[in-house]
This record gives sequence, C-alpha cells and structure tokens, in this order.
Amino acid sequence: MKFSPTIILLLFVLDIIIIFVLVVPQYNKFSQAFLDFKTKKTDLENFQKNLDYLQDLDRKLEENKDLLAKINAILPDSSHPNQAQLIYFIEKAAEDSGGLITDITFGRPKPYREKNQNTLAEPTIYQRELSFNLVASYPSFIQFLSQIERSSLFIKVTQIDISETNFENLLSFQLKAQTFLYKD
Amino acid sequence: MVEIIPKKKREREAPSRFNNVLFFVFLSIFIISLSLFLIFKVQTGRYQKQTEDLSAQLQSQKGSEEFRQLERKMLTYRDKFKNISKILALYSQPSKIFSELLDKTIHPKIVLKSFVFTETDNGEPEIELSGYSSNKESLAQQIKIYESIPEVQRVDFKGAEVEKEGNLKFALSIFLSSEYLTPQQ
Repeated sequence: MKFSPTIILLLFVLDIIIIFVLVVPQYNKFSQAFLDFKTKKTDLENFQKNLDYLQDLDRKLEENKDLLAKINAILPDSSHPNQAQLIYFIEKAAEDSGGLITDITFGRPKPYREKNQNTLAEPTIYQRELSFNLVASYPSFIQFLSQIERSSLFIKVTQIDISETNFENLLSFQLKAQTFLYKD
Repeated sequence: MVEIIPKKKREREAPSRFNNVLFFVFLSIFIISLSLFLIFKVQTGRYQKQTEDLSAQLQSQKGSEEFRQLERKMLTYRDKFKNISKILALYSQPSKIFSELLDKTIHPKIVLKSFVFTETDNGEPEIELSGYSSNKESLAQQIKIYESIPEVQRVDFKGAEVEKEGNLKFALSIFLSSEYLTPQQ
C-alpha cells in the first residue's frame, strides 16, 4: 500500500487537533471530576467519622447521667426553666428548717456577661433574679440558708434583708438570689 | 550495470516504506487518542455521577433529624461545660457572715435590730447593720472588733443617736473582701 504524503500530513494534523481539542480538555475534565469525587468521598468519610465520634460521646454522656443531671440543675435550658423545681425546693427547705415562705417572685432572665466579655457576642448564659420572703426564727434561717447554699440547683444569694415581725422570736428575711439559664 | 538497477529500486522503495510507517504511526495515535478521549469521557461521566450520589448522601445524612439533634445536643453540652466553671466561680456562702462574723463577734452589750447584706456586681459583700448599744464604749469596742477581722476591708460608721431609754441607736456598714464568701480550698 502506498500513502501519499498529503494523507499522512492530514492525519498528522488530525492527530494534533484531536489531542489538543478533545483529549487534553477531556483529560482535564476527567482529572477535575476525579478530584471532586475523591474530595467528596473524603468529606463523607470524615462526616461518618464525626458522626461516630458524636455517637460515642453521646453514649458516654448517657452513661454519666448523674453528671448531666448536675449540669442541667446548675444550668437548665431556657426552654425548660426549673421554676417549679426551685419553688418546691425553697418551700421544702423552709419547711424542713421550721420557717415559712410567704412569697416568691421570679425576674425576667437577663443576659449574663463577665466583666471583660465582648458585649456584641450573643450571650448563651442568662441570669434570673429570684426574690422570696421567709418568716422564721434566726436558727431556722441559718439552717435554711445552709440548705440553699448546698443545693445542686445553684441558688446564689445576693441580698439578705432581716427585719422584725409582730411575732416574738420570728424574723422576716427578704432574700434576693440569682439562678442561671442556658439559652442557645 | 547489473548491480546498479537493484540499488535504484531500493532508493525508490525507501520513502514509500517510511510513509507507510508514518501513516500507521499517525493512525495509531489517532485511534489511541480517540480511545483515550472516549475513556476519559465515560470515566468523567461516571465520577460525576458518583460525586453527585455522594453529595446527595452527605446532604441527606447532614440534614437528617437524628444528626441535627445529636449535633445540637453536643454543642449545647460543650457550651455548658465551657460555662459551668464560670458559674461555679460565682458560688458564695453568705451563711459565713452569720456563723463566722456576726455570731462570734457580737458584743454582749450590743443588740442588732436590722441587717442588710448585699453582694455587688463585682462580688464584694457589703453589710449594713443597725442596732442598739447600752453605751458608747461598747459600740466603739464592737467597731474595733469588726475592724480587727482580716477579711473586713472597711467599717463605715453611719451615725448614732441617744434614744429615750438611754440606749445608743447606731448604724454602720461593713465592707468585706470579695474572697470572704468563697469557700476555702
């Protein structure tokens, strides 16, 4: 068989065109698609690892329910404020000490910020003021205060106002306290 | 002459064979290039499809209710753990004022009638006391006792007046150090 140089030249030109117009761009597309695939595969693997890690953490947290209960008692979620629990605890503590709670009021939660905390940052901790009045003898009050301080509900007494009552040996104790809430 | 003829033949055949070789080489390159193009095209499509599948799988897992709840729960607890030490640092024991300060240091001739304890935002406890003293000396001694307590930063005497019964009605403020109410390590 004889091939004319013209045909050979045409074939050569065709090769060049195919390589640079079809093969090279398609190879680039292939490389990119492969890279995208590898990246996405790694993303999915990492996500799976994270999910496993979270599930493992969740299992560990569930195993330490006591710890979680303590944390939630100190810092309850704002969606589940422990107002009823607080009222019950304070009234029970007063009763156990031999006193009587005459009123309890809760203030509106306010953002809690530390001294140097950036005020622009969205706060997650809220403080709620709690005022209550106790009528009791002095020893009963000391016992009551001690119970409040030892409570896992974390009631921080910030003000105590003691005044006399019309009853002998009974004093009126007006207390202000702070509790905290978590709001995400 | 016999030797010359075959020589000429060889010279004529050489370009033709070279052309053939070139043709087949270029043809091979053409076929290989086309094959590569097709292989790359098919593989690109396949990887793109797999990437789309993985993306959809990732999105569905990330968007799943179970994952979102788990992630939210963990972020909440992480934040709570981070903040709990700040909250616990605020713990104070105001009962110490009664058990360690007032009860132990009250002068026998002093009667306290009112008491106000306030903890400022800076965590500094302040006590406002008012009561009666049978005489000036007892009141002065009581102030001296309070001043001698290391945790007492300052005692502000607000004033005193003599009542009809002869008792001395007084008022004073006691400023304590911010560490006083925190539990000892």
